[in-house]
Amino acid sequence: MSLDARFRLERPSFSLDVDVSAAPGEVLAVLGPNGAGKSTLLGVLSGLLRPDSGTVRVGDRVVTDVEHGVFVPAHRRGVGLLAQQAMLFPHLTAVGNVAFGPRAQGVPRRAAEARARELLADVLPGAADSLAERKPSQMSGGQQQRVALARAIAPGPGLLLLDEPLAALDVDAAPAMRSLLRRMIRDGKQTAVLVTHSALDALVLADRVVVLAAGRVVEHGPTRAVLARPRSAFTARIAGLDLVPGVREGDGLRTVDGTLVSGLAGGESAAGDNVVAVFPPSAVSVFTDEPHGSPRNVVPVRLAAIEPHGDVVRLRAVPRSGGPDWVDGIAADVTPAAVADLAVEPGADLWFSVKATEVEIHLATT
Amino acid sequence: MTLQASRARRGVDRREVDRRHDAAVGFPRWLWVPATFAFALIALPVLGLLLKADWPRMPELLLGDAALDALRLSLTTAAISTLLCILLGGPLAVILARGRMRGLRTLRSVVLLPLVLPPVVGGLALLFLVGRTGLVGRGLELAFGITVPFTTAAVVLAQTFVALPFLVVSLEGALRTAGGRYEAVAATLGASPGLAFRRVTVPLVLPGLASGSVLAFARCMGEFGATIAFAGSLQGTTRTLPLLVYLERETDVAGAVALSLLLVVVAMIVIVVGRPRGSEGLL
Repeated sequence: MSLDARFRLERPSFSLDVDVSAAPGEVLAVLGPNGAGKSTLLGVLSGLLRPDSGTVRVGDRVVTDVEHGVFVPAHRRGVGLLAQQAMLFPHLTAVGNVAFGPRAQGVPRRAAEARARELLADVLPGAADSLAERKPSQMSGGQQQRVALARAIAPGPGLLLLDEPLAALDVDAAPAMRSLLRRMIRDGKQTAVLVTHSALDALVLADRVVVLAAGRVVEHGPTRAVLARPRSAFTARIAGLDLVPGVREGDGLRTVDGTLVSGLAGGESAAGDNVVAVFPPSAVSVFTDEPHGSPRNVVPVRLAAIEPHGDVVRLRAVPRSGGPDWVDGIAADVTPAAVADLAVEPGADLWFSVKATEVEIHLATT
Repeated sequence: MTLQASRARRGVDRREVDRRHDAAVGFPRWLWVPATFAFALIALPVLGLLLKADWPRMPELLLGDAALDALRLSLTTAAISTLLCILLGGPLAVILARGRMRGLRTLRSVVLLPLVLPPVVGGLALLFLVGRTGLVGRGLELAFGITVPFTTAAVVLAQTFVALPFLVVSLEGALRTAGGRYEAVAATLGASPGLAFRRVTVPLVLPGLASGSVLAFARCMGEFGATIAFAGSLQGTTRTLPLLVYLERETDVAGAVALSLLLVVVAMIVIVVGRPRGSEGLL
């Protein structure tokens, strides 16, 4: 079923004003920093929160319409939820948990349990029989989350809400759960809203993305497009890209402090527009002395942190005293060998350099 | 009697302590001195009872008519009162734990009143309310010809009055620990509030309900002050074990000791069988 939600919710220190939708069978990812309103959004969709104005429609059914006094309670919405914690009912077995939804809909016990066993076989290939009669406390975190997924799907929800479903899993369990979600949700044509902090989750699971900041949608579009061409610092960070804001000038941009960053600007922006320069950390070269004589953007930075990042090492920059401010948080990915050659520690002064051909210029969000 | 304290204590109970390797920071040794006195204060009087008991005459003392009547009355009234506590106190605990209306704090303080009130005052209050001239009592008598004071019903009412907070407090604690999140999950699975309550809330708090009931039953068995003020002391009708103990104490010390030991045994059974976990946060 489709989702169509347009509403406003005011709190003393925060307001959420959004317009989100998903086509039938589509997965919409919601990205955003902490406090952007992601959980509030899910609360309104699931019927656990009442907005101050607006409507929520699931399929043809209006489940919230403040002006006309419509508010369908959570248990009659057909909106399922899979949260960070599995939250399996501790007194029920795996089968009992998965059969709970169908039982609540009035499906006879035997049929509900048969359906539960089918779903368990789907989410726990090869292990369903041995786990079916176990209580949640006798399962691993990954197994619990798989059972929770089966439980959320079992009643056949028109819309499924996924609230950072991989965040609480350890690194060994997350990839398998991610591909399971892809199989069950995306391939299963289950309309879903996925709240996540991870670009990978969004890329693997979602067709489209909206980025929330301070209670507003600041970016939206197909997942790949949004993550490849971030317009805000948050999206760039999520996508693992470096981003520098400024005003378009020639083929590049000029930052607030007057530095010119050369890049490749398309026809999307014109001179004087607010734009962002975007480049991958892997395109950044690092020097201990100022490099000369190449057509590169070069900027003085201070090294803030050295973090392992997969096979490479990520160097994070902070401004030098008196240096440009916009380098704050910019990352450079280098090989461990290169770090050893540089022989630097946090606090050292470095030069970051990036070729103009690696820098894309996009319109910024307003 | 904070919930946090009881939670923390339970956490420690569950953790497996490796005594052989544990080099945790200890406590000051002088604490042993007052702690020993505290333990002695509880254990020695019971020991004294055991020493004082007239063991050869025990069967005769316990199997007398008066004793058997009192035991039977105590067990039945305590059972009925505990049931009433569950039926009335259970819903009250749910409302205190889950309700969102104003004034719940005040309501909770009122519910706790019987815990701190001298039971005899509670008994008098009941007498003035349900007695022949009381607010409710007069109505009952005029409408149905029912008189409550000095009947077995009065014993049950008095016991329920003093035991209710024990059940409410431990059940409310269990409900708060379980939180409302499982009910929210149940709702997203299509369960109505009624179904979620039956299939999720109740099973989750069953241990809390059990320990609360055990505590309430124990409190009912030991009830004295409110009963004597409100129900009097008629053999077979209102004279429960504690009342009989008090009565015998003046005429037949050996009988009083024997009955006291019987109450000790009942209390031990309650503690062993019920292991009232709720008491950690309660007293």
